[in-house]
Amino acid sequence: MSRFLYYLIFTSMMAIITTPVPRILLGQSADGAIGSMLIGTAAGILFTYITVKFFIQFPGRDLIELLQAYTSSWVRIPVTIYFALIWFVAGVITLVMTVFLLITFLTPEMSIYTITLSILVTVFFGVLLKSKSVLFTLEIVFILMIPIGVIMFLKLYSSSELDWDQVSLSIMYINQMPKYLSLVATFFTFLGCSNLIIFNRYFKEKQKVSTLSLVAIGAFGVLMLVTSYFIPIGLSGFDQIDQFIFPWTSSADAVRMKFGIVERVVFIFMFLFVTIAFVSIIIHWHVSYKLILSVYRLKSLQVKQQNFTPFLVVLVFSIIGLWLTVQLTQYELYQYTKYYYYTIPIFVAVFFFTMLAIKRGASQ
Amino acid sequence: MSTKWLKIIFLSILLITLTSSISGCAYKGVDKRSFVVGIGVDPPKDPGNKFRVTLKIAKPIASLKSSTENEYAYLVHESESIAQTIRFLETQDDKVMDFSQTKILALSEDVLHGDLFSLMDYFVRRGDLQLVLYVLVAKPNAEDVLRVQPPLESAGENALYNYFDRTGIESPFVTTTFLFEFRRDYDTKGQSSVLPIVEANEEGDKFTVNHSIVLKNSVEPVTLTPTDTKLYNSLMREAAGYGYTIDNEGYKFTLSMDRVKMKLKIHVKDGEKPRAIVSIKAVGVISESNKLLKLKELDYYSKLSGEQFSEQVKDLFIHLQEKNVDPFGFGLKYRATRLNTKDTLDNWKEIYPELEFDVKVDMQLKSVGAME
Repeated sequence: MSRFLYYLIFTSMMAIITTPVPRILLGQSADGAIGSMLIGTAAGILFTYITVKFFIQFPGRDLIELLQAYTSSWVRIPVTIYFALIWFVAGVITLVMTVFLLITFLTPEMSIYTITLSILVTVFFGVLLKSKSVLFTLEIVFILMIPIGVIMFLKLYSSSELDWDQVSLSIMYINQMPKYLSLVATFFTFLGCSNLIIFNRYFKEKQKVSTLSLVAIGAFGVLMLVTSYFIPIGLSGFDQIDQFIFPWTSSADAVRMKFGIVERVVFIFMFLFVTIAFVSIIIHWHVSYKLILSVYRLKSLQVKQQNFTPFLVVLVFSIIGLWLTVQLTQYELYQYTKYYYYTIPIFVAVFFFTMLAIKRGASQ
Repeated sequence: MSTKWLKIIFLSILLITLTSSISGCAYKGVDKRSFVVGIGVDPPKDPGNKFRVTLKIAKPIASLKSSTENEYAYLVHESESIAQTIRFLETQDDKVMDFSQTKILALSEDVLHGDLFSLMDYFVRRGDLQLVLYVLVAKPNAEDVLRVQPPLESAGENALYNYFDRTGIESPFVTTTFLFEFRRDYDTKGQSSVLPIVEANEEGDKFTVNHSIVLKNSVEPVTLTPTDTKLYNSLMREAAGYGYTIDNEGYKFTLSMDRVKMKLKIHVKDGEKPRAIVSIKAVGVISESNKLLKLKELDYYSKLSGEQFSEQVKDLFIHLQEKNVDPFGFGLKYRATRLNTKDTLDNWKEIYPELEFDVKVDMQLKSVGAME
């Protein structure tokens, strides 16, 4: 497998810290979260395997091209728009969550417009990059963030304030029935490979999925889930973990570096995860905007050789993003995100149905 | 006009519009902020109010070289809630109050009775307050403790920080409890939180930190003596240092511990009394003795010390059990080693008063110091 594919998958796993996933899991910690996480992980690895296996058959061709070649337009257009919507909302959730995080912990006095706009400016140009440049951006961010990530993990797991009894207390609730919401939230973590619907265009060489690569993906996913679930419990206690709105940030604030550059490690964490969130928004919106452009291009925006529809699309994205960030309350964000996660099985069904349709078309 | 130019013009217009929107940046400079270094909460003097809050604010100094001593400003007000009081105090300060550097939360002993929810709520709800600030119990009251100015405190320093952040003194008598730790242990069923007690003398120039206090919402606070505090810190916080006195068979030692580790196990069988098996491994040296010591009898000294040490530990456990507090987390251990059922907690409440402690100490004295 290409290293860029690993980046895509790993980024979406790391980005869960800035989505409501940890809170959903921790909210059901006494209510079957661990069982759901186990099932969700298994399902996620299976999904990754099937998706990668499918796209390997069509090296260098993305979903748009495949749909145009092998299916009729009454399949192609609704499916593309549905996918565009799913990806756009995934980006919006990360955006709103990141803004809320910054406004609660970093700059409580700053206006919400300023914070959102300063994120959106960067995202705006990031989304308009070529797909290949997006992948390169991803690689650069990934390589720059690895040292910080490693420090963070060492610091978290070796911190003497981490109470392992609390962690083992939470494992004692393994005998509860798994819950649907936690299951789909876990499954969402493993959806990074579905970005292949656009980025497969740049994976031109014939690749193969080895068992080792699946193990690596599974191991990284489990590490991220374990970190985002057990670390807050160990630091903030099991009995009241569901009271936290940002369980992760509040727990990261409990770790300190006595002799480090900054005492409060939480700022390093925020730097790391806000950066990952940025890339995550860029990837999601990039996929979404490419999908939209494949069905719709405004003729009237054509000026000589340049068509300005991409600018318009991303501008609309940003305006909706800004509007939602200002409008939504935290409760609404969590509530709507839950509804979004509830619909993920529908997404998987449509995804597999599309794959089947393409396969049938290709074999004819 | 070529497309390239159009693109550049378009981008510049976009950039200018967007930058103008972030020109009104809300970030205030350091000279417009006053940094709160400590918050104290006392019972009110006027019975109509609920809390009396003291804020300790660092005064700006021109440079470390030119200033000879520390200067702080203190703002005091009382009202019905902590948030209200702090909002009122903000009106007495011309700069914006910055709580992100606050490291001390001093609570007077008299506000610790009953449920602490309404007291602690503000501090954990406010996102910009650190969760790694030190919570302590102040005697005679929080305001006096915050106002103490030790002669050894140099400019730009806060003596109280040094007690707790383990970069200055590292004494086994000093318990360090962070805000998040306090909250975690206080709310966990089967564990009690422990806070250090800081005493200020009457002249207001000295601290003494060697007592601690055990808190749990359902019971009265229990104060630990310096010896018990030291034992608690060694066993739970892995604090090491001087000061373990052993008096056994005519020998009087003072031990200095390098490291102490404790493991808990809870055995509950039908028909038997529930037992807690506590295995402690302690490594140390003898730093003072009333007799000449022989190097070859080190094992014998270890045995003598181990016996006495285990007695001291057991006495502490029984004392805490009688008061119905559990700072060592026996209850948490019980819950953490059994699959959860809905009776787990109720079972524990019945077990704890009857629990018998089986303390095994593996004392390993490495040397008798520099002479026999």
